Amino acid sequence: MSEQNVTEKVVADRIVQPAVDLFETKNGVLVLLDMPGVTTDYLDVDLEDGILTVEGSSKSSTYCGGGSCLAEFGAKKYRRQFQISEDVDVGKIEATLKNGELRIVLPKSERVKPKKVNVKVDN
Amino acid sequence: MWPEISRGWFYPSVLEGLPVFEDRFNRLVNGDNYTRSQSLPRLNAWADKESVVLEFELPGVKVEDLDITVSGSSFTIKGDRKGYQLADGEQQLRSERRCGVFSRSLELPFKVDSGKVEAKYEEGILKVTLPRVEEDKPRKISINVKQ
Repeated sequence: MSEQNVTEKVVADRIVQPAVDLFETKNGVLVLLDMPGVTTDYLDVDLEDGILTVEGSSKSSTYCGGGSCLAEFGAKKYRRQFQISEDVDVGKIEATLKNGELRIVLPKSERVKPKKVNVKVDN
Repeated sequence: MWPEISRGWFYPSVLEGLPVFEDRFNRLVNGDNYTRSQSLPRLNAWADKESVVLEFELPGVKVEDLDITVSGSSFTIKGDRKGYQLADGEQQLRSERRCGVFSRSLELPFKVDSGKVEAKYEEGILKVTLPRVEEDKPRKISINVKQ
């Protein structure tokens, strides 16, 4: 087995699950995740085999050189997965990142949305 | 003992006492039942002789809902993280994120110049730089030696 066949998966020191809020809206499901310190360059949102994976990493602060230091948070890797039901229109999923908050909209596909059907009656 | 001298010695470790002070302060304000709440925004702090830098983890907050007060060496941040407003027919399925009103107060290791405080909010991290007041900065005094 050559070295090329072996890929080592590098795991960050700290992997945390971002806190999440889920809402059922008229058009689908809204997912809100807290990922402070993450920029779009370091964010990945993937959908594969019905599983939505959110991954992101935050940089550590540039300070902490000299002087005294109090550290309650540091660089971390966020990761969380969600099973997406078949009702979701995967082609229309939208994700936006603003102020460390990731918003994912999972729209219901048209066929699941309640629709009024006019029925003609033949006499 | 000369307290003026020992002040200089313990200066670099003053910030390490911050959480202790904070807890005492919050007990004073909220009574003895106060326990350190997880809903306080997490904080990183650095200080050298010139300034203090504070960084708070505050995702999804509007800048207009943040309020910073500095007086002498006392620092207070207050804020209100407004959660998602449910519309008619919508419902919340899961709630893990912390929203609502918070307040965190700190005693800084020296007096800061409130007019020169700078705050920057990026990617849900608030960074506040507080420069020390000029007259409070340590001064080097040259000593003339007569031979």
